[in-house]
Amino acid sequence: MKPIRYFLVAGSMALALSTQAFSPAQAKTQRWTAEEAHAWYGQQRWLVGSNFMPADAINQFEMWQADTFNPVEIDRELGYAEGLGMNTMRVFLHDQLWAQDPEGFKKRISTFLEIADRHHIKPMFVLFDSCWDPNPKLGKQHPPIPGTHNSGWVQSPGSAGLMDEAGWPKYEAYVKGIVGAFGKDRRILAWDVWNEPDNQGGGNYKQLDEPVKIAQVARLLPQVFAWTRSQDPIQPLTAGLWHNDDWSPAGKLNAVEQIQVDESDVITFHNYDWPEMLEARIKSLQPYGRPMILTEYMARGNGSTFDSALPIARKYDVGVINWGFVAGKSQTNMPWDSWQRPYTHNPPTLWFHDIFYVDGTPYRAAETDQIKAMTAEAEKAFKKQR
Amino acid sequence: MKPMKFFIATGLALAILTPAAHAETARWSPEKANAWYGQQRWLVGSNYINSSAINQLEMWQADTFNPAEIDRELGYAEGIGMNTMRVFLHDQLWQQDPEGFKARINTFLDIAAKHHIKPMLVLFDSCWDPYPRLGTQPAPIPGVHNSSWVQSPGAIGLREDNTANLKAYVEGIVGAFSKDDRILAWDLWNEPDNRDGQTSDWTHDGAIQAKDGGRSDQDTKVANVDRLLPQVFAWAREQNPIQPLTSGVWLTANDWSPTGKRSATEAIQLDNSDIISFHSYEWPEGLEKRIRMLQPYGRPLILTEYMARGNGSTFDSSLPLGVKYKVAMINWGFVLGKTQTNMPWDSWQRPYTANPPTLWFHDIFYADGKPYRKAETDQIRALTAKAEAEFTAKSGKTK
Repeated sequence: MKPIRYFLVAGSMALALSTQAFSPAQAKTQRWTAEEAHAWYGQQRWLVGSNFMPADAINQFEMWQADTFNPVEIDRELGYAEGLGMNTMRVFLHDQLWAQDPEGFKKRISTFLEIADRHHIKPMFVLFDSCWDPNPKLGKQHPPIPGTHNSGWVQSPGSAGLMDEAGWPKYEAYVKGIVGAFGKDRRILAWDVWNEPDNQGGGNYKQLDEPVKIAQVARLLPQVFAWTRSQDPIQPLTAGLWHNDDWSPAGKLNAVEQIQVDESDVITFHNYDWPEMLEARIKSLQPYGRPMILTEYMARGNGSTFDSALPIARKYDVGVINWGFVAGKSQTNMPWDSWQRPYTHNPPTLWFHDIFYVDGTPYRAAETDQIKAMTAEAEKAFKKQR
Repeated sequence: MKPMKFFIATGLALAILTPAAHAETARWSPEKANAWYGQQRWLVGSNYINSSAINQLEMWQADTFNPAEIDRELGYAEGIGMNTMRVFLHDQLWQQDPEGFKARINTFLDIAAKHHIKPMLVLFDSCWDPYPRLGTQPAPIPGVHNSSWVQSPGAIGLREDNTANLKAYVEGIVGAFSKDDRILAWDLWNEPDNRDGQTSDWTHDGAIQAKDGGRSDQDTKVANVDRLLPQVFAWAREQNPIQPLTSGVWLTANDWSPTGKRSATEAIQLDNSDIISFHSYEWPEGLEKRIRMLQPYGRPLILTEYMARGNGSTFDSSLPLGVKYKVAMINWGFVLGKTQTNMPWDSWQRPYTANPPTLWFHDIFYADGKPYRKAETDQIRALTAKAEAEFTAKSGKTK
């Protein structure tokens, strides 16, 4: 049933790919088999990390543009991560950064990878993102909205880019350019090709209507997977599930979700819920028979904590990447509801996300102690096994 | 030091020197307290107010007392294996109608006993509205946490000229129920030194804000509490109750250990309580630290308030610590109702009117008995069942 559905959803492009798939020249551009994915996963340590944005950047542009790219800050902060025994970080790129200055962008990515490598961290790069501001604009970024969660984060490509199909070749250039440049780079863990692709966007922005956005993403996402694969990367590809009730093979996946589960070499997903919900999600994804990485979790004020999530992930051998590392301009220590109710007079009862203050002091020592202890145990087990 | 204290405090020892009638009016020895605790099941319960009551007055006054609802809701508690409930009384209810109040308490105790629940009764409380008024109670403020809970005795009642009334209340209630084994314990004063924001002026009749933002008024309040609290302990003891007395420490900025810098109020609480009670709405490591601070007192420990999901205090992590350290566990909030304690504390600054809070802050059940989060009621049921089985194996007693 699945291939049929896939044809229907992805339309002519998918059809073209599927037929080409049988020619030997395309042999390596196929999705990894479950066995290949497991073999790859078996080579990895237990993956533990955070979604990473340096504290002085409000969004992807401020992190990566030449004027504001800050290797010193990145180095210091990745040092905090290494200190916890973290070995990956999920890091967001942006299509407009490629359009702006491909060579400079590649150079800065390379610099980032050097720093990360020095700290024994293999990042997962994210190519596109459907969350928050749908109108990304290069250049100087606005300051944070006081008391508001992630108030400057930008979508990639954003509403206009998503609707302008004639302009999609520039995304092909971006994907092929980046993955082409780093597809054989062992310092990179994986490619997360699109964050929460079917997320309408959130915030107080004027977003595309949800069905329109889902339809457009369902057309573009298979191409993004195909463009990425065409570069024959040594790293696995993925795009994570994050909402709706039932993700199991028997569940009612929407068009975008179906593409995600059919194209991902390793299964990734998000969960900001109580531990029993996390466990139910893991169980619903196990039938896909592929390695699993939880690429977003940990929202203290929503019941998702390191305390309960890490032991479950360890138990099921799921990689874990929480949202939020150093509290900074993205202000993700503010709860989601800060978009409706900015925390300007009083701080939130708890930090929603984030682990460290800028100076490296943990928000809650019990958490950093726990992460340290669990990564140390996993490292020991990994070494013993080898 | 401890044996000495024991000698002085014990009835037998004193019997030689004083009339037998006063024999039990001293603080329980740690041995006596621990012996009492050994007779109890692992105590698990909630702070309880029925869902249609906004405060203590609405729960207990004749017009609004609702035995049918109490019966239904204590059934939910029994269903998850709870065996105690912490329930707040009020001095003005006694003044209003002592006999009626006693009759309703008696009704409540009958219902509770039917559900195998032994409540802990609280006599005074320093939290929220400092101007309790009998009669019809206000409707809840939309989106606000515990918006009409009343203090007892409150700003006016704390004055020296009201002491006789408070004494009559304590003697009347404790006297009436002092030999009633349907009651677990007496919590004499909830968070006595709670300074409770800047809600009022403590030296005048109305809510006139003092020039310093209420600080001097709060000092007046705590000074009055420190004057009264030892007397409250003494009045309760004079009734020679079979139940232990306590008043819980709660200010987490302080070190509660015997060698810590305890406030005057905390010293009164900790040095007069037969069993040590305390509050912790903290992350589990905070709770564990509190337990360790209090262990040196060598007395049973009862956590009389905990569980604020949006503050890091959950059943998930707290209950296992209760098991591990043999601490009795009484969370805040049972059935979501007019107290709206599913709203976070910060709702006082920012009412949750447009959108609900991300998580229920307190509370376990909807009014119809459906759990807010099934994993929690499953956990409570499993842990209480295990404790009950162990208790039965040890004592031979069943419910």
